[in-house]
Amino acid sequence: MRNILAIARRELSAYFATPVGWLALSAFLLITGFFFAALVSLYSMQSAEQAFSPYGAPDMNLNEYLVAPFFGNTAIILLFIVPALTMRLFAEDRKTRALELLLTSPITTTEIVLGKFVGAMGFIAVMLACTLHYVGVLFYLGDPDVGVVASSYLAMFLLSGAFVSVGLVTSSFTENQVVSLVLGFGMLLLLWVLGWAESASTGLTAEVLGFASLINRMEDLTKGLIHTRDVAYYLSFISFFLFATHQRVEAFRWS
Amino acid sequence: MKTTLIRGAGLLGGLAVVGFLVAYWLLEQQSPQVVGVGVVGSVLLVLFLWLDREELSEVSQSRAVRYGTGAALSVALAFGVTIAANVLAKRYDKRWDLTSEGRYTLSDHSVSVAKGLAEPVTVLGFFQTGSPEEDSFRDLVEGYTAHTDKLQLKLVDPVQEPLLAQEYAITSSFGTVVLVQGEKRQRLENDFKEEPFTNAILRLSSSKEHTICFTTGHGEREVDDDASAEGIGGMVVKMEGQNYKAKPFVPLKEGAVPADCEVVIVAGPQSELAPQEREMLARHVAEGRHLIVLIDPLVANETAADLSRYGLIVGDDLVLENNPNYQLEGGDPSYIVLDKASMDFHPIVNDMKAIALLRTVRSVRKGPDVEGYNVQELARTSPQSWAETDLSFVTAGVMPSPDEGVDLIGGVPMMAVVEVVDPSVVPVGDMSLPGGGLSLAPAPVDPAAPVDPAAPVVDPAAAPAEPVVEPVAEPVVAATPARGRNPGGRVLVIGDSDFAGNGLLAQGQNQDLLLNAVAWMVDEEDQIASRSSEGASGLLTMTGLQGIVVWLIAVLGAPGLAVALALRSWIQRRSL
Amino acid sequence: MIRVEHLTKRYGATTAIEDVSFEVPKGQVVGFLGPNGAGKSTTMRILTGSLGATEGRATVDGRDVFTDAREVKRRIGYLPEVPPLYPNMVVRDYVAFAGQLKGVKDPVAAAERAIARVGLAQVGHRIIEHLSKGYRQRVGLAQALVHDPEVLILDEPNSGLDPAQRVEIRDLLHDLVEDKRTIILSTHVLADIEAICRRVIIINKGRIVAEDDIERLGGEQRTVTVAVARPGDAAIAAMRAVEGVSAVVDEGEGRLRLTTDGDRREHVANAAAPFGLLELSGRARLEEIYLRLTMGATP
Ligand SMILES: Nc1ncnc2c1ncn2[C@@H]1O[C@H](COP(=O)(O)OP(=O)(O)OP(=O)(O)O)[C@@H](O)[C@H]1O
Ligand SMILES: [Mg+2]
Repeated sequence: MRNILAIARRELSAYFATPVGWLALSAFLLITGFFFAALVSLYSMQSAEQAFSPYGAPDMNLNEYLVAPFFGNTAIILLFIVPALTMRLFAEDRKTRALELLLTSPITTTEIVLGKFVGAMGFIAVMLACTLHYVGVLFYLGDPDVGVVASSYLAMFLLSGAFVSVGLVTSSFTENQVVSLVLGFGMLLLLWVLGWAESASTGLTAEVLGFASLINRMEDLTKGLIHTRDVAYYLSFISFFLFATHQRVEAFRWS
Repeated sequence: MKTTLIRGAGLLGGLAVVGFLVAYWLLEQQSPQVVGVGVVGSVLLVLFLWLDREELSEVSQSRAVRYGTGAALSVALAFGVTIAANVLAKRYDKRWDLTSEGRYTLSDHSVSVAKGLAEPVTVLGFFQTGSPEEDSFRDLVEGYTAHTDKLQLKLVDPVQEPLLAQEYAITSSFGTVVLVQGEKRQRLENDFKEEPFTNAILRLSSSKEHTICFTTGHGEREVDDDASAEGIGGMVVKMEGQNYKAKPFVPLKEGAVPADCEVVIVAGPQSELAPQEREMLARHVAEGRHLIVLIDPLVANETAADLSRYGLIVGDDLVLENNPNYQLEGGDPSYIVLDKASMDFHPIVNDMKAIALLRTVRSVRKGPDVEGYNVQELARTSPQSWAETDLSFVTAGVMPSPDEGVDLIGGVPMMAVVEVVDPSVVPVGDMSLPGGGLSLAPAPVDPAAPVDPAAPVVDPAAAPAEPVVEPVAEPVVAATPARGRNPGGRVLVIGDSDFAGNGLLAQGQNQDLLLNAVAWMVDEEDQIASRSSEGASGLLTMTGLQGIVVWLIAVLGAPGLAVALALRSWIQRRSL
Repeated sequence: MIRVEHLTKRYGATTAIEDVSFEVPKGQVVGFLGPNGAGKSTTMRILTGSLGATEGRATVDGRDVFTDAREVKRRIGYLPEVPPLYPNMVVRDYVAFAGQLKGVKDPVAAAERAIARVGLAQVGHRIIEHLSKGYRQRVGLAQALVHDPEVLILDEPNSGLDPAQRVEIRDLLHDLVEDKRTIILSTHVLADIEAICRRVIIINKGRIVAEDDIERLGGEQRTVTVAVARPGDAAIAAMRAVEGVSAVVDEGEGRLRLTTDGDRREHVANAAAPFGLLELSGRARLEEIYLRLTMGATP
């Protein structure tokens, strides 16, 4: 545990020591900020229309029209940003040979992999925490559903976890960060679009595709509906890729 | 050669087992073929492990396998475990609805319907695979299957299985749902929300169909009109959805309330009911059946006054609401908002969670105690309201104020329910028409009952000479008392009918008011529950300045801060 | 302390080391010598647990480096060929981080000690990337020393350094030797080995070709070269007459190469004095042996 935290802390501070980390944070905040402001403006316009309508406001729902689309957008932004955050995790260490320090220290490979995972998740937690002021704005202006917001953040976190675990494994396959980025992003995109492929196919294929799609599994969560099968999906997804990374790092010793 | 063969078999076996697991649990394809594949796969796998055991143990002892090739193997194994875990997770799924209003949680009503299912029901969902309709319908049914194992969902893509689609005559491109229970079928088209689905289950499994009759001929709200604001067709549709049969009838033409009418609804008559008609209704109640009168202010005053025979006083007034918390936006005082605090304790209103909205209401209150009746007022307006008796203001267009001593001030009741404990006390007068053409067989009312002098009971012996028009062959008998309930009928009077009209029906729980009342009357109290769990609307409005501030904070504030911090760290580090 | 038995490492078809066995007793300083690609780094990486062996086993302090890797790693400080640095980190943080990984109780204090030890005190607050190569090498050394390990494995600690830095690192290593640590040091610089190590292991093409105390390396036979002002047969005869000298070869320009058994330098010097002794050296011996063993050159 101590070792995991030590590695995680180093990874986390490494993000703030390089322009990449700051750049990613700024870009993330800028894009989510733009979407947020645009959604709020749109929704408040619709609200105003509804409020003066003689039929009352039967169907306007802050959670469905604002919170869910906002987190849907955030998920897509994460899809682009997380691979850029994870590309260096192993690739850079291999390139600078710093990995040898980890491999020759009295720590387990599991601790190395988890440390890097937790470090990247820490940075993502910081990123997500930086979006909390949007929620504050929402609470100030309207009455969003705390439960929906909370489960949406859970969704973002689980989704990011899945992204990071994929990034981790692709990063361990190459010394070149750009290659790692392309591999990671490509793989995520593939898993992402399984959801689209699902609607284009039928029957058994569709079922399997829909089941495996990263995007489909978070829809309920951003609606405030927590399914154990969805949480289990993300956790098992993360576990699998962390295990694959573990095997890959072990293989460094046996190449 | 031999080893290649064995390994090939092993690989094939492994694949077959994985495929079997996926098909059997994940896709729930539990056909014999699938099981066969699983069995053959397992046999092959075991065979491989047995025949190749020496090789395997040797290989697994060498370092290369333990750490090298072993990695690939264990990753493959982990993949299998991951799939298995997900298959299990899908099978044993639990869900939590974190929304504050329980948006994805079934209403208590639906839950009790699901739990009450005795016979298995197959739900065939004909949807285009992957369509949003299919998704949300699956979610919906999952809500039910969490409470019962009698419900089996089968999703069918009409394009993939045209024969099945043809069998059920599927034409809608947005989906069709067919519920099948034995020979019985129920169809849903285009609307697959919780309420219609629950109703479909109810219709399917309910053995008894209750009939609700609507009087006509006095300017009542139209049963067939489900479009205009005045009609009551929307309410009727809801009732039919609850497995009730609704039918209009003209009392004068029928000569009596048809025997199959369990509940008669007089929905906002604009003109008076004839005295004979009122007697018919009284007899209907005396026979242990039920009556709902929705009566608006200013009209049908005689009919309203006649309700005193049930121990109720219906005021010739208009209830005005002065409490801004109970006023609609715009502040029209003739709209009456009722919430939980307005309601008394009674099965009809106990489960009302949202508001009910009434418009132009007259007061309905309990009169002097009458032996044999149980009278209860169901709801009151706020203390700031009153029932204005001087109705000249309606045409004058000036806002009146409460007049002490004349008007009913504060907490005006506008709906009340009467339970007839002793049917013999219901005063039933002469039902024969003034034209003398028609008369009816007398009700089997206890002739020894004390009789209200104002409304003398017809002597049963006085009638037989006259022609009898009896729509039902058998004589009307009071419904068998069920569950120890009172033998007499039940009467609900509400001083408004607008709330049940199409115009206001969608507001709050307006529709539940009548549905609950009917359910209570026909002894289906288990069906009284909060029927709708639709979320409260959440609007968000901003001033122009707030809008600008939001944009500044979101687009300049946080990202700007991040850029500034980035610069700071870069400058700091440059000199290190 | 360190025992290596029949270690073999193959990268696919290429064999990096084959059947390497040796032993290093506690407190000894061993030089690991061999040409490029001989397998020095491979052997060291196997010992430190960053690489697995194809066959054979190795123990440190009686613990197997494969099965008891954690305990072994706790005891070893390792400086790889390329120091395992995080270029973006501040020196102090980096060494403390290494200390944390090695399981040191107080990593910050340990880092300070290690930094002082390798003479980095003035640059402790700087970012590693901005340091000169020599300093970075020292950071690597600090990393290897931070947990005060019993065993030090240093893979070419002074490669690529300018002569001044090289001498400084050598002095540093010399200090470390005084600590009674067990050290394996690989280098191409024979002078370093001679200055620091008591024993030397020479490896070539993945196999150990020689392993002995520096003094005894190559058996009792030694070579001494003398340069005299007045060479000639008399001088040669005088040299031959010295006890233990078995052969004298005139290399011209007054240089005579003598083959002796054991260290006979003093006697040789005495005998050569009458002829005007200018220079006497036995120093090139290691290089000679090294070249002979690794290139098949004959003396
Ligand atoms: N990852 C690898 N893949 C394939 N071959 C390798 C790998 N690493 C080393 N080798 C080979 O193993 C042999 C031994 O390499 P090693 O690095 O141990 O030599 P060395 O003695 O340290 O050489 P140097 O003095 O150049 O550092 C070399 O032939 C090298 O090409
Ligand atoms: Mg080397």
